[in-house]
Amino acid sequence: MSTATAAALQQVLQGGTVNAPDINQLVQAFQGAYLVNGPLVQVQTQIITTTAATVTFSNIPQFNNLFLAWSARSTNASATVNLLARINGDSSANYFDARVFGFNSGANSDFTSGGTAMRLGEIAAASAAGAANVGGGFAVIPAWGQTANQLTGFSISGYAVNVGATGSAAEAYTFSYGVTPSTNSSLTLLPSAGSFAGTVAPCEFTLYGSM
Amino acid sequence: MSEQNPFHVTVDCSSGEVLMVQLSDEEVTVMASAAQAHNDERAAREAAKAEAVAAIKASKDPAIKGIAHLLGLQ
Repeated sequence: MSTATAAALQQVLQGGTVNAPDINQLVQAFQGAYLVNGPLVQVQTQIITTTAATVTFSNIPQFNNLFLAWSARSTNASATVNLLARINGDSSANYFDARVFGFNSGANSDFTSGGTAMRLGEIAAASAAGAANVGGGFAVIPAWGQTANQLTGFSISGYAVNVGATGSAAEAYTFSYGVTPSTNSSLTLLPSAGSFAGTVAPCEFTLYGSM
Repeated sequence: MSEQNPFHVTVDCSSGEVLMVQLSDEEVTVMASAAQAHNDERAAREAAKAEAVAAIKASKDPAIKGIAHLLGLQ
C-alpha cells in the first residue's frame, strides 16, 4: 500500500473526509488485497456507441492473468474483418498469430508472422445482412504481469452474418507479442479495416483480471 | 475535421476516466486507404480460392476427383 493510500485510509479511520482520487486508491488497495485470493475481477467495461478507430485500455494493473470479452462490428465494406490487438501501443511488425476455423461446411487454418497487430478474432462488418450482426469472443492472456516471459495467449471467436456463402464461423487463435519482455500496461483493440461501428451496433469490450 | 470522423477511445483502468480523441482528416484518409488495400487483398484471396475450386471440380484426374469428393466439392 502506498504512502498516499495509507494516509487516505488513516483519514477514513479517523472519521475525516477523503477526496475522490484517494478513494480510488483505497478501492484499488482493497481490490489488490482481495485479489491475493485469486478471484476474477472486472477491471473495466467500455461500450462504444460512436464510431471508434481504436479502443485502448491503459494503466492495466499487473494481474497474473488477463481476460478480454468482446462483442463488436466494423464499418468496413465487407462481411467480416479481424479484431486486432496491440500491446503498449506498439504498431511495429512484432506480432504473430495462428488460426484454425470452421466456416460454414468447410474448415481451414492460416497464420500471421511479423504483423503490426495480433488477431484475436473476427467480427461482422458493414456488408453483414443484419445491423445487429456482430462478432463475439473471449481472449486469455496468461502471465500479463510477468516481465520475464514473452506475452502469448489464445482466444475463441465466432460470428454469424447471414450473407451469401459467408454465413458463420467458429475460430480459435493463438497469438504472441515477439519483443523482449517488459512491463505490459496497455491493450489497444482495433478492426483490421474500418472502425468499430458503435452507431450501428454497440461495441462492448470488458477486461477482467486475476492475481 | 468532420463530425463523422471516428475516435480513438482510451479507458484508464486506474482512474476509470474515458478519453476520446477524434481522428484528423489525414488519419481518416490513411485509414480509408488501408481499408481499401485490405478489401482488395481479401477479394483477390477469395477469387484465387474460387478459381482453385473451379479447377478441382473441372479436373478429370480420378485422384483429384476423389479429393474433391472428400472436400464436399462434388
